[in-house]
Amino acid sequence: MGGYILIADDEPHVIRVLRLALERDGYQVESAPNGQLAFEKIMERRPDVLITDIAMPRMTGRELCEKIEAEMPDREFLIFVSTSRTELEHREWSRKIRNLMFIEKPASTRRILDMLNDYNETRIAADEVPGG
Amino acid sequence: MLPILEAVDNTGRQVDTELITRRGIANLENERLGLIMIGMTLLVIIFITLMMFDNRRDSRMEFIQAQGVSLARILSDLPLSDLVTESGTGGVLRVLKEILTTPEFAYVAVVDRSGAKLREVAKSGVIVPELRIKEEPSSWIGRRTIPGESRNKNFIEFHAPVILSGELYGHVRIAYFEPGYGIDSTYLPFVSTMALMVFLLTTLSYYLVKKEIRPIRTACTAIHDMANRNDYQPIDVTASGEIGELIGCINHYIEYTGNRVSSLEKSHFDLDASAKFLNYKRERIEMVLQSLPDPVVVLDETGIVNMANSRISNILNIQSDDLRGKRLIEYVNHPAMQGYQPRGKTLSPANKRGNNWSFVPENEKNKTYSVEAFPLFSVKDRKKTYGSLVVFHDISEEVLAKQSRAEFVAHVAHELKSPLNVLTMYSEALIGEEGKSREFQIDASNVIRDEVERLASLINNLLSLTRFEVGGMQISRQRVKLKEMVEDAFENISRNGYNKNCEFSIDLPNQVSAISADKDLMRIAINNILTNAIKYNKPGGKVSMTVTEDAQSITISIRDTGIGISEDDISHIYDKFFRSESEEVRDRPGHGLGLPLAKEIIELHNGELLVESVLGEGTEFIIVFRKDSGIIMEAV
Repeated sequence: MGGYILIADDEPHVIRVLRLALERDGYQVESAPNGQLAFEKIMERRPDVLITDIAMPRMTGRELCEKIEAEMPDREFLIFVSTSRTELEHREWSRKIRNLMFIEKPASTRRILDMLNDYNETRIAADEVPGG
Repeated sequence: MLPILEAVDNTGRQVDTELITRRGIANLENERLGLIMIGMTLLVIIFITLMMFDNRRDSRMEFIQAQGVSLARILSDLPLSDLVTESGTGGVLRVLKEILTTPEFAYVAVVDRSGAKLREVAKSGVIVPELRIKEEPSSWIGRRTIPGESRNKNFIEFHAPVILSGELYGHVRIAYFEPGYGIDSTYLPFVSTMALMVFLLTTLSYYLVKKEIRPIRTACTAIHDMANRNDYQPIDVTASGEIGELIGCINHYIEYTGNRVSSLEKSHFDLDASAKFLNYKRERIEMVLQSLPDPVVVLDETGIVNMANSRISNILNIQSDDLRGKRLIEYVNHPAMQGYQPRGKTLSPANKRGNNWSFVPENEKNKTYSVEAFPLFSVKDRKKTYGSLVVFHDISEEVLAKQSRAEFVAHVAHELKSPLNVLTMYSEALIGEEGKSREFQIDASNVIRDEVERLASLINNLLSLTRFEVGGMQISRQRVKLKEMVEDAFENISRNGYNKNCEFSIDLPNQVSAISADKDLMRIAINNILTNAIKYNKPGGKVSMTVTEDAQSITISIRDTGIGISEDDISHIYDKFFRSESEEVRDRPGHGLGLPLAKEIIELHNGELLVESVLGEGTEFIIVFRKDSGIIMEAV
């Protein structure tokens, strides 16, 4: 499998468990405690997937997504947004951001891994079709 | 109608005040008329007399002219010897003087070519002037006027040539006094008789005219009196002929006017009453409009402002009176105003009604108003409208409440779901590969316990706060041994092991008064403050608790040597869900409800919660219970 995943979350416990699960599945994992540091890390190296919380100090997950959308128009990586609320409540701002999926809390690590696998499979399939 | 009636009244009052003056003026004018008639009569008499004298003079002039010319010619034809007798006696000239009865005759003379008098006969006292007559044949016969000497009258002289042997020898001159305007005594009886007759005739005419117009004057006085009394009775004047007819017509008109005035007075009274009533109603409507707590504007069909209460100036930069007559859309560029077209086309009332828009005034950006337009339906015809009523309602607080409710819900969701998230992930991890590690099991158990505690504390705080907010918190006061309660809370926290790196100290007096308080709530308050003192401390920091009591108050101080609170943050620490942006704060778990709740509880017990903090050095929370607040139950 593989791939570089960046986790932005102010809960160290969440990062710890996710990191364990993802690394076991072969992903390379980096983390940031807030949106601002996450953006700096993205600028250094673009992840294949960004998993971000919404409520974070300094820069919220929403602000991070909007900044990425504004400053990286060629962005291709997937963004998972972990939210305590429903997807519906974020509809207004999130519809302007491409390639974005919501994970409603409480989130299952298993489910996150399944979603990542599905995404990777879809992406590989999409890559293969044009190549023939 | 009203002003006309008032004018009538005014006119009536003028009649009252001026009536006497007018009558006096009328009498004077009558007397003057009589004098003028006498004067005119005299003038006529004088004029006639003058005309007569003038006429007489003219006729005398004509007579003198005719006689003078004739006599001059006759004398011219006579032989010189008849004119100039050698004896010096009379002759023709004397005879002529004797027979001439013409009173104006002055003299007759014969002169030679040089003008020297050859013979003259004159009225006594008259000196024949020596005046030469020109010798040219054209001047031989003629007439001339010779000025009389000093006061004497002028002479009118006629002359003709005296021919001797075919040659001019001299002239015959015959002269008359110029007829004057003087009174001729012979005319006096005639003139006097005529003047008397004219005078009598005039006087008679004057008397007759006065007699004839007397009913008119009586009627006039009666009409003045009527105007003065303001009643309309027929005038009681007897007259015959055309004057009688006129009086009849006037009486008919008075009757008509009386009826008309009565009817107008009644209408006036009714109108006056209804105008007062309408004015009262209008004032009441304006009063209602002014006293409405919301800004209100009344628009006509085209969106022009008819009326606005003074509160409109709070939200639009214009006074209500200045807004009148202007289009509201110029000041409120808002969808609620879009339905009004400048040429009277308006949306149907159904479209205007029930819509509700929000409006943020230019000069009050922090305020939000709802704007509602209500069509003003005609009372009689519900399909017809007379414009609309636009009501601006201040919904700032509702908007803020809605926002803060939404924020509150978002916070609660986050604070509740975040521990659940951790719990879900760790429970999954425990049954997965990581769960096989003993070390992970212990860590996971600790994390799960912490998160459950966090969740429980959050739920408790939330429930307490919510109950405070809805006013449903029943405090159950009991006798609380403060010293023991504080000691117990302190021991619990310090033993908890939540922060093993901290150094704890407590300083309590031997005895502290018992207080009347809700023990459970008070413990929550003290616990929350103590928990913060540990949570926001630095590794190896101190937490000290001191209780002091004096005659006025009991003070509980909880001091830490932690990260401190910035000046920006300190005013927000009692805001619900407030968490500092500081990384040092964010690194510590918390939900921003502990301090607001502690404050609520302490204030509920009539206490005061004070805070002093230095960023980077530490914070001190001080709970003060004043003894006069009634909290002391059992003094030491």
